[in-house]
Amino acid sequence: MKKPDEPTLPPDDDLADAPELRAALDAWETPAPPVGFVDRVMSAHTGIPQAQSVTSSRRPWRVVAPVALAAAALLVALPRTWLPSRGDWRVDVARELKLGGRAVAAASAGAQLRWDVRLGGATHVTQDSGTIFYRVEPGSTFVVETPAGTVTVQGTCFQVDVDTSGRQVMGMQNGKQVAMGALVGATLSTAVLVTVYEGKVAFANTGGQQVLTAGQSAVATSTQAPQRVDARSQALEQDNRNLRAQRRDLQEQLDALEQQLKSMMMAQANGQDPLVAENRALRDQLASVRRQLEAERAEQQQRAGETVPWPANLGPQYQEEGLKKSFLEAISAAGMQGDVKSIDCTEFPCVVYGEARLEGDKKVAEKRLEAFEQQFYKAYPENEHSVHQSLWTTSEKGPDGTPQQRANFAMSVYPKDTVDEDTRNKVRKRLRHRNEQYMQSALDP
Amino acid sequence: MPHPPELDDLTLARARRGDAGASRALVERYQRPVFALLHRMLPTASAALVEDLAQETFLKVFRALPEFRPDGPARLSTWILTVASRLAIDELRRRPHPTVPLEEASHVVTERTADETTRRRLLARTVEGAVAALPAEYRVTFLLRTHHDLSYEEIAAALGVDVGTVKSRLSRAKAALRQALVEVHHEEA
Repeated sequence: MKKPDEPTLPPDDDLADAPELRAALDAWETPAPPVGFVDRVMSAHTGIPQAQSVTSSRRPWRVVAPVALAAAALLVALPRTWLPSRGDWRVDVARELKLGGRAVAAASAGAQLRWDVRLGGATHVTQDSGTIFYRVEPGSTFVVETPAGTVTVQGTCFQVDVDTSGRQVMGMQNGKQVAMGALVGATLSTAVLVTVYEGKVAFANTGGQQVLTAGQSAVATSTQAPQRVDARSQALEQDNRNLRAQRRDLQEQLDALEQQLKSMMMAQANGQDPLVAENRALRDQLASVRRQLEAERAEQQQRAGETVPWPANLGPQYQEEGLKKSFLEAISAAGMQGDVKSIDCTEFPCVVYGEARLEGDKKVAEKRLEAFEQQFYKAYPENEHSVHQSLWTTSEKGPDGTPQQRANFAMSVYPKDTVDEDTRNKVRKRLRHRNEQYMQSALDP
Repeated sequence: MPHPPELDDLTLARARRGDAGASRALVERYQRPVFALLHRMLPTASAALVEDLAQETFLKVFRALPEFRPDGPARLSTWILTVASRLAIDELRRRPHPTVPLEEASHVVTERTADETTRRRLLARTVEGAVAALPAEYRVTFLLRTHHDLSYEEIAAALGVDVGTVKSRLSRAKAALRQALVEVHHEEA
């Protein structure tokens, strides 16, 4: 049985939800990531040394450890009050300097500073130029005076960059080169950037003050109050904003296209698409034309009759060359000027189409035509052959005004014994239709 | 304790493509939980070793980042903590670190005090000692659950075990904590 004062732990699902346990877990604090860790990771990742690395090695304290141990041994022998000291330092090669007993300044090449540590540890630093990283233990006042303002700290890690070039660019921690002037929007004489890594500092000049905590930065000039900046985030955020804007534009374009497509699909579904309507009208029109064509074909077939198959072993006089020969001989024998226009052997029987011109009046022409027919029939005796002909004349005047006749022929001939009576009727019907067609085309070309 | 939001999708996409600024943002965003997990997993390790492992974590993350699926089941933080967890476990297997015996850890809370802050610190030491006494796999399971808010399923996926194993390990961690806290209460009573 549970004792009265035994703590009640929640079930596994809420293991850390008991207030007491939660408080204990929350109290289990861990050290913050060391300063410069991000730079070291990025250097290892990219192979490029990061501009704002405070030191070049991953753990500078290993390098300075012997010195620190020696200093510690010395400090043990001293009372716990800071002895006054002062100095003036112009840095040629990046190095570290102890300022009194509670501050370390890691200065980059080119930095210039003067310091004055008073009895009790109050420290006043004047930084005229360059980049210096400070680590300050809590204690008395620690002030860094720069050309653009004063930085007051109470135990912290921070960095001060004094740019006296007026145009010099400064590498920020994200690896991007950012001009200090761009940060404050001013033409610079001297600009100062303060970056806080731990704790809190106040950066002030006659124009105003900024209180900065870990992760914050501020920049100031001799004529402008300190302004909060976080160039890393600014640059990244600006890039992100630009990319978001691009993405938004692309998304809008995509949305518009999708909307357009959707509208088209809906219009298609509803039959409202102009193209669909036009296609439907064309299909209707095409169907109508097809129906009309079919009707005409049927009518034509009705008029023309059925096609008759070619008989086997049809003699040469019934084929194209034989018919042409008979026709031309008859024309010649009748004393006419004429010629075969064409011979259609695409279906049985062949049809010869011809034309002749005859001088003189109609009576003279009729006599010549009669002679032509007699001559033609000689080649195809009537008791053995069936002959169909269409022959007509048209009166005209020649170039000199004399009368003349134009005769047109459509003639076909085939042996009687090749077809039966029923087939013969079909042939007659078709030939009549062909002759009508020829006459129509000749009279109304 | 609320956790900061995950890295936004656009910065993550840029980091996956190797963008230096976005990669830096990723480290800045996740360095604290990684350090916290490593410190708690390796309470007796030197700061240098923890930093080495943290750096290795992020280098592994960068190498594998193109394979990370933002629309997959794992959150980025879970995925990064998975990498850190495995490195910590490997480190413990390779070079076992001394752990704080539970008796020693609980001893510190025998000091009777009315100061709440001090009491909380002592409780924290108790929890720390109890967790440090756990085997590495149990320890990481407990930490991922209580300090990093991973679900059972996320922990199971991170450690390559099934959910039942996760629950079992949490149960044992809970028993160790109960033992430690009971002693605190008995001493205070």
